[in-house]
Amino acid sequence: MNIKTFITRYVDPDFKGDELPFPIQTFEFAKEDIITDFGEVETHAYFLTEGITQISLEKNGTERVLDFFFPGSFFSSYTSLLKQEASDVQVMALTNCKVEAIKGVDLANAYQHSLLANKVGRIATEYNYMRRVGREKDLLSKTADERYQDIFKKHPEIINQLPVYKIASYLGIHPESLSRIRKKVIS
Amino acid sequence: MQKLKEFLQAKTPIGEDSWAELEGLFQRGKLRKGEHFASYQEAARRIAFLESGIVRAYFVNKEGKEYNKQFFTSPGIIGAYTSLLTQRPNQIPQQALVDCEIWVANYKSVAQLYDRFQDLERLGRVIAESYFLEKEQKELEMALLNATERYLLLRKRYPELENQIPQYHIASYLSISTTQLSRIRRRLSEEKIEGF
Repeated sequence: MNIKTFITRYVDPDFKGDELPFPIQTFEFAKEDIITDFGEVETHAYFLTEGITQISLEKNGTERVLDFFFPGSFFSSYTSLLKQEASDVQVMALTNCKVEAIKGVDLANAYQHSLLANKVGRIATEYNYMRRVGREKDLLSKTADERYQDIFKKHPEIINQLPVYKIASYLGIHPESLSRIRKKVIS
Repeated sequence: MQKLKEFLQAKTPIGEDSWAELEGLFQRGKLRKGEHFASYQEAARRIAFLESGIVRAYFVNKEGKEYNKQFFTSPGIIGAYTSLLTQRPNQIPQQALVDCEIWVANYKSVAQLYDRFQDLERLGRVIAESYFLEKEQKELEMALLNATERYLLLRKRYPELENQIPQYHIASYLSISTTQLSRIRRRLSEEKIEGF
């Protein structure tokens, strides 16, 4: 999926592909490239077409993974993009990635005059918000086992592509606990 | 409805035609203390502007334990946002903690205006953004701050809250027990922190 197909599927089924209200650029990132670092001001909204990215924060020198992103999602240091303030989170490529990027200024301009741009922004934001709410609810109501099963079912490729400590960090558990859970799943 | 108009205009300019349409969708309402605005497991249908009063959004886990996720005061919008967007059963009830005055509208009717009025679509976007910003802000605070720090932030943001609702609601929001909250308050007064 790319931005055009996202729009057709989730925003406006009548969207004609040559009428994007903002320019987009395509970028590639290599594994472990930092896309937006702590303290930087976010410059783009990204749409992931290939690969896996993460958003994380740092507490007492330890990385805490907040979320993974898979192809078909918008991602960025969104608070930083919206407020144009220093980012509290870090955005990093976990594998080689391909993205479509919208410059923040182009997006802001499009919001001034394009109904479609506002709709894309609203729907992408609503979706992102709901992801977060779902994640919070899962953290409060599901065991680490269950949450592991959920993400493994949806994205089995993470096991091959991401180190165990990262998945453990995302689940909020120790890597040893995750190894235990994985042994159970395999057997 | 002046307070609602000002609240929305502060987010993004709304033309008079758009406002006239929007205004027509809202009706005056009341919530009695303890009354739910959004119930558990129902598909949410309404949003409301909180003219006065306090509402909490809370989550109940399988064991029946309640977690207060958020407080709403005036001016502010209440409504089970996720349920409104997805039309799936609401997982996060919203309840009045004191008597409230509200302006209620059917959410679908409001959303249907977006395609006809670009400034209302923009308002919808800006509101979605502010929901996201609040959510991320809270996540960062929960990950990076301790209960005392979060308590001080809560008091800063909602200075009148503690005068009007029981301490156990505050404790629930901070994910601590009332005993722990008392200890925090005692420590803050011993350190002669302002306001204690």
